[in-house]
Amino acid sequence: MRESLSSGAVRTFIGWEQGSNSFRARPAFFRNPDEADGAIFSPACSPCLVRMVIEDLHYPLDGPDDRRPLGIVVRGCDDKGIIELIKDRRICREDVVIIGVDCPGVVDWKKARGRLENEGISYDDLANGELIWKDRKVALKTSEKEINFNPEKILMNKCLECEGHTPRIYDVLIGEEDKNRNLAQHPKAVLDIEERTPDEKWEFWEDVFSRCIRCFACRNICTYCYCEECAVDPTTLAISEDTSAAEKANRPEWVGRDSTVPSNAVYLMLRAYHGSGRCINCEECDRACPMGLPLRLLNRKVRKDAKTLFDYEAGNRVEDPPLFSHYCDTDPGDFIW
Amino acid sequence: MESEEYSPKIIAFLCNWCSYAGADLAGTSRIQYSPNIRVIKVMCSARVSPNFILKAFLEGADGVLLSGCHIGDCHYLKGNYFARRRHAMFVNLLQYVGIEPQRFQMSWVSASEGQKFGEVVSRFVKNVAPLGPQKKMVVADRLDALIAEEVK
Repeated sequence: MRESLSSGAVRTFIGWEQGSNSFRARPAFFRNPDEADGAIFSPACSPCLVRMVIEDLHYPLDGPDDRRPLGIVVRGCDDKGIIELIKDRRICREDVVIIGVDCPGVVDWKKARGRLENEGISYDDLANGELIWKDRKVALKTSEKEINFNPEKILMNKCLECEGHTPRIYDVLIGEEDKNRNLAQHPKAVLDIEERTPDEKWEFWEDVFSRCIRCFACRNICTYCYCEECAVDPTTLAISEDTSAAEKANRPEWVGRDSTVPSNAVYLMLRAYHGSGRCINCEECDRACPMGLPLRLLNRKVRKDAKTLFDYEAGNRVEDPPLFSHYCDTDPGDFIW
Repeated sequence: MESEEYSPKIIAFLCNWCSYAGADLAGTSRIQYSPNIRVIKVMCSARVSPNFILKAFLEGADGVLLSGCHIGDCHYLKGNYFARRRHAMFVNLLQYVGIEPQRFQMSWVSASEGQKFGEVVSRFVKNVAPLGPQKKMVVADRLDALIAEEVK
């Protein structure tokens, strides 16, 4: 990273830096070789960085005239996000310089927070310890002791369903390439809900929808949700100085911003639907949700359908056309009278 | 509190070139079918996105029908292919959340199929009526109005 920054080949590198305690890391933009010393890669690095590329596209950090590529650190799961961006033609492959890393799994702070007592972690350990990988399992190292964790209790849910530890596209790879890429299995949680009757399903989902506060955190952090004019948010209509008052007053409002069950249902369903063929299962939505809603149950359902109905996987190959911009003669049509 | 027998309100999105003409033909041929649909004419079935269908449910629709040209016969050549793909996905998502599968239906009705249009609507209404009014996804102020109507 130092090299590419100091040679001027890359304008800014997106990576992680240490966060507020040893279990947390946050996305950071490294602008020059000295700042690059603060970059880390440890089990604390849970945020997906692809969203930062999009943020930079909207508000270029180095100004609109700097055409040098952006650098980014990518794990086995994030590469799908970069591939999706290339497919959507938001960026070209040459616009990013990718450092691929071999990732054995990162921690979920929400899970960890609940287990501090059980694992015997004091606040001091939390502040001063260091999270490391030991034999590809997460451990907390402090000056006195080392605590090993059970992966299921501490890793992010997506890490428990890992499809491959190293990315498929990269310019430099740190670590050994993972040859065993598993195709995603159909998540059991989704199948579980599909088995229920409509009333049981609604009982489950009504509870979820009633807790949503419409903070839009899931949309703001989401890797695919980068539309500047959002279909479910009537306040994001694109206007210029020529937009008439009548136009602004008559903008279509598909769903209001109130946080009642029907509006939340529409918001969450539509967001999941807009992600069909685009959601890469980065778990940022679940991570960001202040109410702890199981949002990925919707997104994984849509991913599963994309696979079973259309044999389509998001972020698999750059050559794949986006899901709904193409059709096939053999698309399922039995549900149509 | 006497109330009339429940009659579902169906919003029907009909494509201009085939289904709307088919519905028109059903009308001129005096074909009897359930009078529950409120028609919204769109130029092509591909115009309809899940936004529309969800909005219809939010406003109190008990069922939504989407009808377009037969595959291969779209006036705009490809619209109904896209609609088919899109709604194959969406229909699953709707059901997954707990909206009864009978409440949303797609059909292909051509301009000469007046008879079929009548049958599609009657069959749809027959499936939806036993489910009762759709209350899960009705937006709050609309729900109050609906309840006030029922009580009257």
